[in-house]
Amino acid sequence: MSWPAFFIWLCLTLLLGFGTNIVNQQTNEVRREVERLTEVKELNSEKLQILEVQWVHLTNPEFIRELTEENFDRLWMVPGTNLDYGSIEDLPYYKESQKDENQ
Amino acid sequence: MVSWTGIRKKYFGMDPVSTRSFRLKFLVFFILLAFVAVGIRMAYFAIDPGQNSTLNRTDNLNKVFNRGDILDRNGVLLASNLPAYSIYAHPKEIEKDKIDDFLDALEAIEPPIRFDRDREKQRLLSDKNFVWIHKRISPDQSQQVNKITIKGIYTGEREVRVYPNGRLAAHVLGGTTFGEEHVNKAEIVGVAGVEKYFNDLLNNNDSGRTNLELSIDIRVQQILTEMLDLGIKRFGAKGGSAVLMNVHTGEIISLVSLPDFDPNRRAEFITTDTKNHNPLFNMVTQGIYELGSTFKIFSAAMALDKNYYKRDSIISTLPIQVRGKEFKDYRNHTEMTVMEAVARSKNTAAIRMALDVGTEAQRKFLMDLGFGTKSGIQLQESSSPLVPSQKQWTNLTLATVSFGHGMSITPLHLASAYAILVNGGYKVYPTLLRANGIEEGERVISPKTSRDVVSLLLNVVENGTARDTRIKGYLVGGKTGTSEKVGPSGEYLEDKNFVIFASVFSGKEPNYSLVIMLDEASAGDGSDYERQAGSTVVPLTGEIIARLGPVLGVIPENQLPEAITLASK
Repeated sequence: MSWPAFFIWLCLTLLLGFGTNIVNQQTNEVRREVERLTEVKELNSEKLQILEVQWVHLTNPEFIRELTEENFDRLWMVPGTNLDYGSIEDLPYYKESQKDENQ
Repeated sequence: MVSWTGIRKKYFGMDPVSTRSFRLKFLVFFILLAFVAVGIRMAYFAIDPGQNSTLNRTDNLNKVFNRGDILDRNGVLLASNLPAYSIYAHPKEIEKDKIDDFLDALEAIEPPIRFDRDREKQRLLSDKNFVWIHKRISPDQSQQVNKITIKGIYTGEREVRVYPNGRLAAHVLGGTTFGEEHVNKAEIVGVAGVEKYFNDLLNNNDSGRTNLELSIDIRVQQILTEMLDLGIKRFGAKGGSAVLMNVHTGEIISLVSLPDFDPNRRAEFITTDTKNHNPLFNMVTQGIYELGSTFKIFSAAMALDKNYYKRDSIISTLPIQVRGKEFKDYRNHTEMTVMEAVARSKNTAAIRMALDVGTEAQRKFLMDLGFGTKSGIQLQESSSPLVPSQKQWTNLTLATVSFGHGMSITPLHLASAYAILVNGGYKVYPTLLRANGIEEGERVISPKTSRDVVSLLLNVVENGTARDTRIKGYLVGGKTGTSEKVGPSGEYLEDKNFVIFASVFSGKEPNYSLVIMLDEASAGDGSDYERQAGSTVVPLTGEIIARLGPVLGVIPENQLPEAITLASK
């Protein structure tokens, strides 16, 4: 093998080694980043889960009923029933439109 | 000395110069090989960086929470997991004179950790290698425990099951316990309800967590629980149950059994008390009862379906003898239409209709309604009906079964049967899972009979024993029933009964069946009349449907044309 060919091979080998080293460093960085993100994700999933459970606990129908009872004097909130359904004739705009049509 | 060069010269005839050239070529060949190998590997990563890579860590992302959530039909969380900790000790490592200091510190933790001081002290003084001190403390409490610097005391991470709605839907959800336990991990195992039935599915996280979507609507569940509780208190009942079903899909929208329990603390409700209701007992799926007059609609339905009678056919309500035993009604021994006989709940009319149909057909009809087997609900806590054998099914059995005695079923069986009668006549199977659409089962009665049955049930509320269920806007149909309790020696107890009202709503094409039952309810001083369904469970059902209707989106009948017009605009 001639010297130029040997030199080219040598350069390629060095380049390959250098490139491999860079890829290795990048891989390690990405791995560390993934580990960090995984930890953050786990932590956030855990927080989210806790918040979801807290939200359901604070908005559960039984709790809301107790709150409406406690604040009845202030809010006058009563459960909805069949009597709360209205007729379309009860709507103000409907009455007005009927008047307009009659005129 | 033997050298490689010597060997090459001796055996291959190569001179030193060609040997050097060969060495160089050999070296270049291996460098080239290494270059190609590394190049291929790099190209491999460039094409698919995720494959076989150590970077692929998604399998560990949810390592804290493994068991799937349980959701209601609208996606509201019914059961989930939270991080928690256990406290454990290695007694052999503990300095015995510091045990009291540890227990003092444990007692000072806020919020307090419940434990038996004397018992724990004895356990810590023992020579055991390992003891659990508490299996379920919060992260806050765990931090406080970690500040107690005594050798031999440790905390370990785990997940715990929580039910943020407390007691609501307790009998549906059931509860969990810890299965295989390690200091840093504890398996959660369902012990009752859907937690037990779907345990493997909920714990299967091969392809991520599997959540369970139920047919239950937690808003409806709350209303039904609140109103049933109100009814129990108002009528001094010992307990009660309610089940609401979609008649087309068999979906259970709500299932309540009172008294109930908190699934977060299920173990505390285990009792050996046999005098009062066991809160863990599910009256809807486990309790089997003779459901009395609610069965008379079955006698009418099969007689109409087999064309023995029409709604306005005249039928006698005079006393009748069957195999030497006389049956008669309380009053009105005369003739009336089938419609009136059902509305006034006449035993003798039910017997006559069943006799015309015959024992074999009656038995087959009731089996077709699902009374021969368990309801098929996804709960381990479900009972088989108590049904007479084919041999026992004589005309006398036919007579008693025609008005709801001599055969015991669960309230869930009754709700399913009413669903079949009013949904057009096809079979539905009760389910706790959200359905994706209507799947018509095999036909049990004709669509015409189904329409006739709805009109019979509407007439019971309009003109019969359930008039107090009438509410503005909703057309409710139903049939009352009163069932005397059975004493310890098998005799009927005249002053103790269950009252039942099986209803369907709203209108001529009802979408829901609702069965409500109260145990020993009385509207007043406990007289016979005030212990009947008409005085107790009937008005309660009216109030319940008035509350449930708007939540279920049931448009009042008198609003229907306008509502449709509004929607179509």
